[in-house]
Amino acid sequence: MSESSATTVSPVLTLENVRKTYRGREALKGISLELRPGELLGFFGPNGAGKTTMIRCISGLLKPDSGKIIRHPFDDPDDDEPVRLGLVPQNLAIYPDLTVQQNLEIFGRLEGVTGKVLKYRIEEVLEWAALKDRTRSLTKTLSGGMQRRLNIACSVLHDPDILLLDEPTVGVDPQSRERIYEMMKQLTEDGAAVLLTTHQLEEVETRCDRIVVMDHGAIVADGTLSELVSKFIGHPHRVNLKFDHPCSKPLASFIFDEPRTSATCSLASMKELPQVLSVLKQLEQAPSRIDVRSYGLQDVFLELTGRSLRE
Amino acid sequence: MILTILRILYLRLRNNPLELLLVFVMPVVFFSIFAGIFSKGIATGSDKKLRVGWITGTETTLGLELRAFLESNSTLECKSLIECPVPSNSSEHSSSGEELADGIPDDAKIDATIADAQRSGRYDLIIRLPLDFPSELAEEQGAEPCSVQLVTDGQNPMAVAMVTSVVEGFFAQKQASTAAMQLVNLSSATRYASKYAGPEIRDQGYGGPVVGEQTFEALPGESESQRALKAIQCFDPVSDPATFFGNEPGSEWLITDAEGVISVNGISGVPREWLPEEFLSDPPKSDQTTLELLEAIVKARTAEKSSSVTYEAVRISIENPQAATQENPRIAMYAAGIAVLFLLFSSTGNAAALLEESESGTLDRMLIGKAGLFHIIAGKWLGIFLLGCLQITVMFLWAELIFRIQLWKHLDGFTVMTVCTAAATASFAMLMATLCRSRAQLNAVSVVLILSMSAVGGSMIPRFVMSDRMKEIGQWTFNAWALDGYQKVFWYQSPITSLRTEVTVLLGSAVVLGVLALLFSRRWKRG
Repeated sequence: MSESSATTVSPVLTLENVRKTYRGREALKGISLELRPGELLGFFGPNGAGKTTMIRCISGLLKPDSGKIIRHPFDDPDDDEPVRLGLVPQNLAIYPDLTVQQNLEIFGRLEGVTGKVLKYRIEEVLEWAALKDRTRSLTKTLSGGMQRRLNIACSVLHDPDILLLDEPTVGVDPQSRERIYEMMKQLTEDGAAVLLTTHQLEEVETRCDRIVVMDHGAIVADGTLSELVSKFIGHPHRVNLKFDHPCSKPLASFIFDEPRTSATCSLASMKELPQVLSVLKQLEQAPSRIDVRSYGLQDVFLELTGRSLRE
Repeated sequence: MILTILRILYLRLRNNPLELLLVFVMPVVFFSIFAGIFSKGIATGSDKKLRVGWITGTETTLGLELRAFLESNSTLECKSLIECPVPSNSSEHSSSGEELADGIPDDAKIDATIADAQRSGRYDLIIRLPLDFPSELAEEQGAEPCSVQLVTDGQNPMAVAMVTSVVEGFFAQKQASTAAMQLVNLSSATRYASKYAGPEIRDQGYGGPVVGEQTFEALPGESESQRALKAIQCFDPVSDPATFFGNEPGSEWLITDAEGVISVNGISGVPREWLPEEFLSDPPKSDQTTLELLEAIVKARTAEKSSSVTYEAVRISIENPQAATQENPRIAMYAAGIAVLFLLFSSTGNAAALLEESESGTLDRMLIGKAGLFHIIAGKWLGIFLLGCLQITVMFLWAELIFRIQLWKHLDGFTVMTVCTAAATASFAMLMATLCRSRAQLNAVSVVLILSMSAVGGSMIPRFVMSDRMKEIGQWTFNAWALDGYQKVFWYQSPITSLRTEVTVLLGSAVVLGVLALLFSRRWKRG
């Protein structure tokens, strides 16, 4: 989903200053957020940041103490069609003693999908989750990745407008993870809004249209990766030089530390790299090591949340 | 290394209170329950007496003596089930038809009273005396023995053996007493004169008081006849002893009137002991010598003496009305006991699925869908209930197939009890699942609770062997009410209407516990 279209499409979910005290602790401190159709929103934050509480509030399992959670057009009195919500819990919320087909039938019925529609949707979803050849297998006999895919498949039988996924790729191999993200991409392409929480930085960086960073029950950052880097880190790239002996001569654009055995230079674009490196010719001693690194979500995250351990 | 492995075991136990509960507390709990049952129930301690119901159409002297004997026994607790009057003439009683005019209950009423008493479960055994129960023990050989009926419901076989023994003991004692009296009477003919001294008047002779001062000395080696002859001579030294018992031609040997014997051979005041009863109806022949007469007397008395302790004094019959019309009423009880025990386990096991779904997130997935919490709880309850009905049915079908418990004959009562029992256990299981926070907690708590309930409620040990206190405690369990209901259906063959109490308790519990389960389940909705 492009950035421009994201802002023009009206949101399917709006959170306005949502607060929730849970088990004596303020878990959500005034969360405000919008989620638009076709958007894949990555929710990122340390353990205990309030991600799961927020998902439970959005899904209606928890009632916020204050604030509003509006599911459009569900709360629109002019629209009879309620917003369909799907939830993929972090654990495998499926019946291991039932077959794949039976699980899909059960969860389809629980979402109100019956008859031919259900049969059609099951076929579709089986194809979508790449489980067609395991229809009659008992779920407990499936691999971890297959079980994860079935876990997601069971939540989309009613064709949800909003799909909430809590750590959907925990404990799966790279192939299955890839498949899961392909499934989510298809969903967003079909117009669903997907909100996922994860600890996988690489996944959020590469797969999500937008990233929200939560800490201590509040949203501390919201935007695309480049927006976050530029906002919280500054330049997105960095060159680091290491010397065996202190370097007495100054270098343009580089900042030395004490005792001048290390120097750093930030780049706005990789196009600046040749020009920056060319100044190395002026040096009396060649650097023992040159690191060129792009800033990522981890840097933003650590910048925002600090390095102290959580829970 | 071994110590490290040992340490792992220790630390796991220490850090897991539930496991500690199962390892240490549960055995203590069970020990206490079984100790309570066996020390004050089955054992012969004073706390647990056999409760005997007493029922008779009419009270006779012998009956009252028997009852007093039973009441004096420290192991029995005898209670009258029907208060009945002491009739003036027992021959007026009828053994059939409506209640008699003088308040003596008829057989139908007695049967109904016995049935009610058995259903109440308050009696281990009922002693029933027939309407024609004699006033005193028959002394002669060939007389009809007293009839005593022991009515049992088959629950406590020991009660039959114990009460039979006590009743037989009473009659044996009575027989011995009678025999002793007869022996005393026999020897009194020889001892009378020797013991008698002084001018006192003894009012026990035929035809007037016995008067006299005569004595004689019984010598060693003398026969009874010789001693009797001496006694007669002492009593009437003037007369020829032959004339005393001899029947003079033309004279009336025995003169009697409406009140009894006036004289014997014209002699009044003859000690009663000297004259055998049979002589009253069959006077001796005139040609018998005195000695022959006396020998005949001694022979007759000796025969009486020997026969009086060997004839059958009581005939005890044992009746089990329930067993009369069915083959294995007790098996139905065992089937019910085991079925309820396993029903509780399987129900809580199925209810644990709710916690499993909560832990895995499946419940969350359901809750955000079309299903509300009520639907989920009601659906689970219905599933456990239906499975419970099926489980009990399978158990009873098997019992019917193998043991012939007459399931089809009691299908209505069985259906009612099965539905109520399954409903109550389903609600109990759902409440447990909603109260517990995890499956491990539910498993631990339910094992302790179910085994305790089953032990106290009669699924493991029959309730009739328990003390009254234990029975009262048992009333707080489903097992007890369910077993009582099945007992009424299969054992006492009671009509459905008699199940009102059991149905009310079980269905009431089902409703109350079900509502509580629904209330506690709201924690999932509210978070």
